[in-house]
Amino acid sequence: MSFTWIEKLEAEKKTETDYRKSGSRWEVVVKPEQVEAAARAAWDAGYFIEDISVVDLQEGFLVVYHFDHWQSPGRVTFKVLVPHEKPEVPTISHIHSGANWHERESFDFFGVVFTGHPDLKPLLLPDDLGFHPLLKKPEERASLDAIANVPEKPQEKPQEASGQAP
Amino acid sequence: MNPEQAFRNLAGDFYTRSLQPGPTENTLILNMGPQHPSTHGVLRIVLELDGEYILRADPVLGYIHRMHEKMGEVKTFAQYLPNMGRVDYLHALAWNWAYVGAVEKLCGVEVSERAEYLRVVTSEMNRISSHFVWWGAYLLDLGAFTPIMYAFDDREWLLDLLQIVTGSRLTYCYFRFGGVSDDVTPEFVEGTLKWCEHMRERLPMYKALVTDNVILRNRCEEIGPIDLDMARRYGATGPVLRGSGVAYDVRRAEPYSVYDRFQFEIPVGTGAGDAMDRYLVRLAEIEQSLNIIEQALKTLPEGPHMHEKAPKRLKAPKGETYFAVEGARGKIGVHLLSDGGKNPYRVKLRAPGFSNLSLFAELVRGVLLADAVSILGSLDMVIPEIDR
Repeated sequence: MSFTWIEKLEAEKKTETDYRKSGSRWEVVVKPEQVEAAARAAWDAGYFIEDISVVDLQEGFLVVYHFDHWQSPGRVTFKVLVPHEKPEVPTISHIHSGANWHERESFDFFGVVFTGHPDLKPLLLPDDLGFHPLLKKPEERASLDAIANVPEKPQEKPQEASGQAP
Repeated sequence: MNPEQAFRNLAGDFYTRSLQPGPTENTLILNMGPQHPSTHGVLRIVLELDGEYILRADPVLGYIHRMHEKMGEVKTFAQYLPNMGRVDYLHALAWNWAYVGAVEKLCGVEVSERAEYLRVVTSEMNRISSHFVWWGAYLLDLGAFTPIMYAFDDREWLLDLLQIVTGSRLTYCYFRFGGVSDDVTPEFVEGTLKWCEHMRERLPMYKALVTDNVILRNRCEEIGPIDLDMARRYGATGPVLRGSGVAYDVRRAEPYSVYDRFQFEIPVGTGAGDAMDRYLVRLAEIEQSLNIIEQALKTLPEGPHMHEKAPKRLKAPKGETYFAVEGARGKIGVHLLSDGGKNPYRVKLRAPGFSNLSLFAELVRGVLLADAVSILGSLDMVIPEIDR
């Protein structure tokens, strides 16, 4: 399996991750202005879009793009961090048409604006709802370092090992 | 009601108005659904028609939106489990699996071997029952009433069997972190093998009665062809993608659980990727699922149905993971983040029907309204899964 296209990408950070732990082979952190080029490179390399997931964090919104491949499966994840004050990411719906609905859904739930989107109207929520239901309260937000990367080794054994579950 | 209000209602709601008048004059804006029988649930499609032909289509979602992703953040990991059976009521066990698998991956919980086999057996049975409902309902859309009676007859037996192990008939919540909630009985194993035999006798009848029927063929062949470019652009998965000839199945591509131990084929469409191809792929999948069930039950290992080290009280570490399984409609994905608290920090549910339906608007441009019904049915949507 060749990942040379990822090595050529312009990005802030590229990490090869343990597929069995994180579910992704590569995690690529890109700047908002690099999203389009990254999506284009993924398309040219034969990838299709799985989904776009947004996470509300202290540092801003983490927009997570998941891509996968038919012939050489292995998830590639792109991550973009945008500030709460200006939650704007360029659309990729002109490259991956399926992103159109995922972007509308993310706009519904978080208010992340995908600039250049052909029709950013509500998808799942009423058109006159007036708020974004998945936003967290500022004191509930976790920091980026704490969760958005799977730690190499969990510091403590997460579960007590005894007996059967109820 | 004052006259002004009446006229505003005539102009339609937000979605009707947002479909701006098109390039041609004398077109008709028609609302199909949300209560249209062929939309199977509450899907609404705003159509712009020129005579019988569709110029533009705009699916309107959200009529059965329940904010499952928010519920994931306010419930504990275990409390959220029953939600999964409600996301897609036809293949509830695949959603069980996607979520349970993601949590197990995040927390490093191991699953007992017997439970892995039981998960495969029940999930494949559930896949068949889902395909039965699709088969019956699709033919109902196309005007054939009898097949749904046959399908539900066979499905009834299947649901009786699943009821023995899971305790429910539709919205299953059978999987647990580290295993399954209950062990199977010898009657279940025996009954399921008998039912598999019965199905192998029934499937040729399905073919002779329905699949070879010339009316069905005329309604499906060369209708709604999806080419590879379109399938990839929209991220189509499942039988919709395989109908176009791509043998992409998560059970093979990213083998999870014990699927790599069984012999089964990935049926693909033969040519155009039309509605008939998608139809044939699903029927062939029923047979392959029967193969898997028989192999799994004949090699079912002894042992506990929960892993000895399964956590009594789940404590998730901080982290992020993604887990995908193959549902009856395609790739089901769960993107799970935890900040170390008792609830998930964020759960993103990837519904296969969502991506599959998103190509509908492009696919039906220029086709007859009656063919759009056939195309819609061939995509096999479950609206609660799409709306979540």
